[in-house]
Amino acid sequence: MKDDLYLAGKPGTDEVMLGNHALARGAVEAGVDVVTAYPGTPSSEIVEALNEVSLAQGFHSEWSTNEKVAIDVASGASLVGARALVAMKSAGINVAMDTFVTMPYGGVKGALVIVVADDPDAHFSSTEHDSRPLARQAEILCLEPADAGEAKEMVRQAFDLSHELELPVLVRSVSRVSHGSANVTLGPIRRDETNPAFNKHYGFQYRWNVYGPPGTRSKHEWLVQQFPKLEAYAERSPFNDLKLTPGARIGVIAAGLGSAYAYEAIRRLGLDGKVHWLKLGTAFPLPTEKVSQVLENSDKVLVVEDGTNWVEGLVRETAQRIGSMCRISGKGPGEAGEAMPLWGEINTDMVVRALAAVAAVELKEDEARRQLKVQLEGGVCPRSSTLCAGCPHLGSYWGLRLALQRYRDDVHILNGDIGCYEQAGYGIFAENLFSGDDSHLWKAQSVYEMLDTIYVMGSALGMAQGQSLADYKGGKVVAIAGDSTFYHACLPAVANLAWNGGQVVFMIVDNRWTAMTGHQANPSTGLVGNGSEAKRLDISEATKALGVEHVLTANAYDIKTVKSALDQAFKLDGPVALVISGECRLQMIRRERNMARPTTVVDPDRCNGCGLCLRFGCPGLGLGPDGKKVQIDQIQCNSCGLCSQVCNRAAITVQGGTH
Amino acid sequence: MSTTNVIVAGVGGQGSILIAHILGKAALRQAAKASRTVQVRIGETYGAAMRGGKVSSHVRFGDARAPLTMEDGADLVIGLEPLETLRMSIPYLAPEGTCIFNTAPYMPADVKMGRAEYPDIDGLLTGLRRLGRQVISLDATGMAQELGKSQVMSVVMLGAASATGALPLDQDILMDTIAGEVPKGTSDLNLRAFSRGRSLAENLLGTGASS
Ligand SMILES: Cc1ncc(C[n+]2csc(CCOP(=O)(O)OP(=O)(O)O)c2C)c(N)n1
Repeated sequence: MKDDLYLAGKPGTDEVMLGNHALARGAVEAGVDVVTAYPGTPSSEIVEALNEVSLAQGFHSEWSTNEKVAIDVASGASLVGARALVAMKSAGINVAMDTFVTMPYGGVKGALVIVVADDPDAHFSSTEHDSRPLARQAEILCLEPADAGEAKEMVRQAFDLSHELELPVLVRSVSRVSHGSANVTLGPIRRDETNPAFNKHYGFQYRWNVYGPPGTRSKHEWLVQQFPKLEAYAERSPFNDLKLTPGARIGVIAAGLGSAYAYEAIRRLGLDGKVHWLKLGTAFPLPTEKVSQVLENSDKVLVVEDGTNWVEGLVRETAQRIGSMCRISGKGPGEAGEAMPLWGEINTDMVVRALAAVAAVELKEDEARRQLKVQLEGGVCPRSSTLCAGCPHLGSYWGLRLALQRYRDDVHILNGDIGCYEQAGYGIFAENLFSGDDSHLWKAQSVYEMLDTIYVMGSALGMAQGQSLADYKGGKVVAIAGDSTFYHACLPAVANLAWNGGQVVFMIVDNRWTAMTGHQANPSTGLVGNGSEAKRLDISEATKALGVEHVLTANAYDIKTVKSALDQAFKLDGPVALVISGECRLQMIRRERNMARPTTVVDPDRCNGCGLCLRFGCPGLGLGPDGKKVQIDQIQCNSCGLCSQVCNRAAITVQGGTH
Repeated sequence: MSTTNVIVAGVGGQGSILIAHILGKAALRQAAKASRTVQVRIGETYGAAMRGGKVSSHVRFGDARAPLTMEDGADLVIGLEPLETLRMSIPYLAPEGTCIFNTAPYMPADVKMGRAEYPDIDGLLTGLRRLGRQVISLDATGMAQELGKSQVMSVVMLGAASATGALPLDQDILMDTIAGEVPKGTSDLNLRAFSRGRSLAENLLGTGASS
């Protein structure tokens, strides 16, 4: 990221900027005071950028331990008058939900802007969750940008809106906006000091206390009374654009990124200037007046949006209210011919097909080309993702595999949490795997087939405890989580395990970084978000303090220690925590750039091509040109030495350097 | 105004994101030079910090609004890795489109573990030639290594692409943008890489030194 875009970028100039950097720039232009976030793809670059410039710009910016904590810190700041921003990925808003729906009861004094980056198509997420309906749940405004340029402007204006409406404002991005780039026109940077002040009865009594007299219900009544102001804003918002075309009988209502696809689809079909057009930047509430005008002037309306059919539902509500007979279609089955399914993301081609169906335009198909493509697709082989060369998680998994060999006929349950280590559940090459049998034994061929369950952050341990407490005795019950995940959502689960019991081995794979989302700092790192040094918290001590009796440790880069700790753990009675340490190899190399790097070599006389090390799964290893013996890819190899511990024939050695 | 659509296909760490951003920024400069406005859109998916996954970018400029190219819509595919070039060309390469093809494979884990077979490069090229109008294949990885740094492979490819006529961007604007975007201290090397790629493609096309 380039600092100059934040500090020296001249107002009025256009830049091609990443959506997430544009969202960050919007906050800087608005004079943000406090920034919080928990990283999560595709949102992480927003606060990565703000962390980087925070010291120079004089605001507080942090990685918080989770999204609930992040929204609480930002909310607290807004109560004393600060302009606060909190950012997260789609899953994060679920973690923050309790505060998210309660906070609006008293509203804000400074400003609170909540940016959530959804992930239609689940490129990097556990679900395709759509955050827009949550704005209705919380009874607040939701803005939805079409691209980076609008994203910057929306965040900037959201601060003023939040202050004016005295309510949090939700800005909903999606992967293609956050990780896409577009023209962004830079604006001036606001620099005025906020003097924090606190008044317990600000505006109305017991403002910041939902239980304060006369009670919670009256706070909700206040919130409901604010809604007309939100509706009035939606009607005048510069982000909603209505163009009625005299004589047209078809309307297109397109929200956020959907409007970018719809803009191009309309032109592709030659329908520019032949349909009514309503581009929406407010996903809640809708500008009902404008929507009504489109409905009243159309026989058919197509709603285009990325995510669920949220806006379509709101358009239908308006139609019902005004008694419109207009035929409305959008996602899923209907007049748009199911061109835009209710899962996955949309694109211009899908919108073209949907609009062609609604407008009865015929599309040409090139059958020969279609067949050529089917034929060529047959020759495309998959590229499964893997852990990095030298990843400490490889050592932890190999130790686990060795320890479980003694119980090889049992059906163990390995519950994976969320982080790089979840790769051990991604599988290699899609084979047709299905069996209705109970307690079926599947032999994992590589580390990538080891994990049995994966859901969301913090759930592995509770799941494992449930399996144990349900009296599952078919095999060992294991949960695996990383350091960032440990501090994010495992602490209550550890307390529950210590308290309610369960025969569970909980492996905490501590690589010291929140690695998967781009190596952010967490309490295990020894740094805070802006790069300053901080106290390094100790996971073993934390598990002991929470009451786990058996706490073991091991070194991920020394597989024997992992195996022997697990041998012990599997024999102990009651819950066991095993903390396996080993820093993310990429981070270690980045820091110790000048370290003399050892070289890993294979002795071709000793290698018999048994393939054991290939099942270990390090991408630095592969079969050589003869297809018989293993070869090290020296560009990828990070010289960690793990593979030399895996080989039974001592064919792999690490030479020279310090490792 | 028409829109130029480019796809940069590759594997994490090969530089597809850098090339996409050079193109996007150069398009903005090109328009500024002619006192025109241009809408630039770059669409990417990248997620996990892990290396070696598929990474491809869509770069679009002109009257662009959407982050993704339409099916059969790419005027140019810059293919940094053979398998990924094929994967992205099947849906996107236009029948009239150009494909720049780096011949050096980056083996997927599936192949390394012996659980899949890497497609045959010649067969793959034949397929590409049926999909688009022209395919220029070169060993850009080898050229980059000769230049002293395998990381400049993507810039060799950009140089080759600039010679084909599929990119409505001036050579000097591209070169200025490269110099501004690559890591400090590497701009000379990158500009040499650009020129090497460009002259190789010019020779293959028999166009000689044109700009
Ligand atoms: C609620 C929620 N917030 C954020 C994320 C994004 N996320 C995915 S993996 C991950 C990192 C976990 O780090 P750690 O547990 O230390 O494992 P590592 O990747 O370092 O191995 C995060 C934050 C998520 N999936 N869910």
